[in-house]
Amino acid sequence: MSFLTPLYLLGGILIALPIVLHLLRRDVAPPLPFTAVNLLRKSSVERSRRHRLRDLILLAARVAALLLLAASFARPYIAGAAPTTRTTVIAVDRSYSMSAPGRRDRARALAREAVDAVQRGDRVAVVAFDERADVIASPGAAADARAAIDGIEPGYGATRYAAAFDKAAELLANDEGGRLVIVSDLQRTGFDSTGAVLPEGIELSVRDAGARISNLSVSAAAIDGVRRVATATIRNSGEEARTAEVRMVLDERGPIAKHVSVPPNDAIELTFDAAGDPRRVKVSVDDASGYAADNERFGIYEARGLPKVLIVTGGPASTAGFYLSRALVADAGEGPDFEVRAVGGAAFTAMATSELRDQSVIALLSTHGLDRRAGDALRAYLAAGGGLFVAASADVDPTVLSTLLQWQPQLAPRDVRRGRVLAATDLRHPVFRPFDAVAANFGQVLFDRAWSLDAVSEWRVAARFTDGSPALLERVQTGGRVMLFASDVDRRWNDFPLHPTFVPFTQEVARYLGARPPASSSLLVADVPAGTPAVPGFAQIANRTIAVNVDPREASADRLTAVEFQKLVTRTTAGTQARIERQARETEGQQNYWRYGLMLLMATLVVEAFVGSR
Amino acid sequence: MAVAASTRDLRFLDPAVIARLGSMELKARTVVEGFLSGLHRSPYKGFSVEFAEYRQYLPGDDLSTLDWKVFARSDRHYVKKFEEETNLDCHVLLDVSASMAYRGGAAMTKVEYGSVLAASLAYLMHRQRDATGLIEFDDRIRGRLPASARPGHLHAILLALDKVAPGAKSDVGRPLHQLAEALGKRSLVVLISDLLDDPDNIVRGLKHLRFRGTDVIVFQVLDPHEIQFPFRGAARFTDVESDDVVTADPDRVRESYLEAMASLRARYEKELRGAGIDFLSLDTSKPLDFALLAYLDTRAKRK
Repeated sequence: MSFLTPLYLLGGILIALPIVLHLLRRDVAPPLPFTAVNLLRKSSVERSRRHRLRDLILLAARVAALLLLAASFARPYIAGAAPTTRTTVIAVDRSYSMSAPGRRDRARALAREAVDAVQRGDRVAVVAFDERADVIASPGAAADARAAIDGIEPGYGATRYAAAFDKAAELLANDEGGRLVIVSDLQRTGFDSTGAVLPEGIELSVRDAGARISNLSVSAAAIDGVRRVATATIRNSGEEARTAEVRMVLDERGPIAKHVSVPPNDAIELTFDAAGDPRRVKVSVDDASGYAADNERFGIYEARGLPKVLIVTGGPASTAGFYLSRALVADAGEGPDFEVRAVGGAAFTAMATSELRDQSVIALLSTHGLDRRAGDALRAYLAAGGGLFVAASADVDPTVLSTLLQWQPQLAPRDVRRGRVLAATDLRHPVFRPFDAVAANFGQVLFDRAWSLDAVSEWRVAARFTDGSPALLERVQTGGRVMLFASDVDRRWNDFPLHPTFVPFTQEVARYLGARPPASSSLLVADVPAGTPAVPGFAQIANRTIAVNVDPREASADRLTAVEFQKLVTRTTAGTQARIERQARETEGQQNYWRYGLMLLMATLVVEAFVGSR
Repeated sequence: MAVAASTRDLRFLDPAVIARLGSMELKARTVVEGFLSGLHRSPYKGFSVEFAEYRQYLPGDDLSTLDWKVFARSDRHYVKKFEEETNLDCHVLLDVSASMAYRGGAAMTKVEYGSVLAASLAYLMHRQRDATGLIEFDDRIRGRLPASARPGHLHAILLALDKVAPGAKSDVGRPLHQLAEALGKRSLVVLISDLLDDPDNIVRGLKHLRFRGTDVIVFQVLDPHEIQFPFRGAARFTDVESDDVVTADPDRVRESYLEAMASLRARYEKELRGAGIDFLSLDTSKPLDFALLAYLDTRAKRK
């Protein structure tokens, strides 16, 4: 008999209570005032045999009731005998390293041997794993397992033992004495930094399906638009120098072939001429003795230019935008995050629409020289999803601004000249979120002059001055976003540019308005979103051409022995304890002895009440 | 003597109801009026103390009792009988010893019950224009109001009964002997006590009174627990007067106790009736009408 919550058994200590009361009550006669005492004859207060029996029955009933109560709450169950059948999970590596000559067949043979070794009546499950582990034969008969093993083919994934261990632990969660057989080429790279953890109760057996090989792989392929060259990195993971032919196809042109000799356990970089602005590159190498999947690599030309910010100032002689431009190009040692350019109003008006479209953000610090065409261009830019930053100043005419952007009602700010400071209204706003606890530092900036806007129904207020008037506002306009700062950024109406908060403020505003670096155009097979074939090559994802490649770490020929492999596996008792507890809960839930305990308790209480009333 | 009183009237004689009433006067009035109203509807017609009967004059009757107004109207001689019944001195002896303060299974203690009984008797006596007196005692006389028929005397008696406080150890015989010596003429003595004292001493005292020509009515007031001994579980029974302790298992001694109590009551019954003394044992959980009827019965015998 075991108990699910044995601590409740401590409640059984309460049986001492009726026992003590019973012992204390014996021969105790409480004083009772009476009148006709002289008519009473003395009698022994030794309880009669009948009473003694009655008291003993009462005592037994009360003790039994307390014990039954404690035992019922402790949730008793009878642990059954250990299951006579056990489950064996055979996890077969299907990473692309298993495509080396002979490895697949050897892995299948080892897996079949493992199936044959399973005792009659035991269940077998088969799992195929790389970065992911899939059950290809659920726990069951050996015949199903053999059929599933025959269908395992190496794919394009990389080995991750943790995935196999997790799946095995899941399958063996309810089994006592489960077994896991790993059939793999035992690449060292399969143990990543997160480690591989296996519950202690699972027996681990390792079958080595690999052999020493020499592998050549293309570990990188790229187009350098500046140098107008295409580069490829060829890695030799073997112990001997290798010579091979490398072919490169740029767009649909080529191939261009080169012969290379790669020293053992080393890599060389090849450069090909890439005239004509090619967008795609495919590099392949001949390697019949290694892994087939890493003999090709695909690359996309990435114009990794910085997001552009265009500052519109008053004219050639204007000093407007000086602080803003300096703040945007300030860097922390890794180069600036933005490419900043300042133009006058007339120059802006003359800019082509396509040139404007390349701008991530336009900062409007003056309305001088802007005409209707500039307004059309600005609205078209916003309609295309652009970001516009407007800072109030003496050079910005609110009427002209409203006309250019067709704002109704038109902006009608009051020019307020009074000292005040800024306070972030919504710290969750993306502009202020990075400031977090130091957002209060905005309070150190003194604003002597600013626009005071009353009707702001079209605008969302992100920050206010301490007198309550909006300081930073935003509105969405035909797909684009506009932010309006109610004071200037040129140190004429305030000393903001002199404060440490100015640089991060302007950069966060620029990022919020859309000045972000473009997304990577290369993915590993394991990271390909659902719906896109997980094979190396070029794929169309979200209207972009993406190069999909195998994980270059899998190209390594560094292998472990079975003993080393076992040592790298971390054993945990957490899962074991959880499994035991889960089994206990399930057993207890099936038996439900606590209900019988409570029914017996009720019967005991009835007996107690009946005997006690006699 | 059975009385067929209505349920409504008996309700007012229930000790549990009486105990909740306010002053002793109210209690006495409720008991007596309730009792009498039941009595008037009973088959015992002509027993009312209020009924003043005109009887035809017989030779030997005191001429002063003649009602001359009736003679003037009817030309016949009639005497008023009640005028002859106003010469009785009634003394109510109430035991206020500690044992009388016992209350087990009733709404009132024995002394409260006895007080209501004494008050009711005094009220009844006063209605009959008898001179009424009150003596409270335990081992000696604690308070005494001489017999009187004055209108304000009843109030004094009821006031004294309202303030009755339990005394010490009882010695019923001693005040009885004192009273026997003190009473000058033939009187009626009503003793209200639990009579749990020495029976020999009590019977001697009562016989002393009887020997002096006094009519005596004895009411033994007992609590239901004293009569039934319903206790369960061993206990140390402690005497409320003497602090004597008897440890006993009620289940084992109940039979002998009930026998002893029955024997005691039978002895009083036998010896007192033998001496011409009326004896009535009362249960404090029962109505008072039996006691009042007993009194009237004795009173009637004195006519």
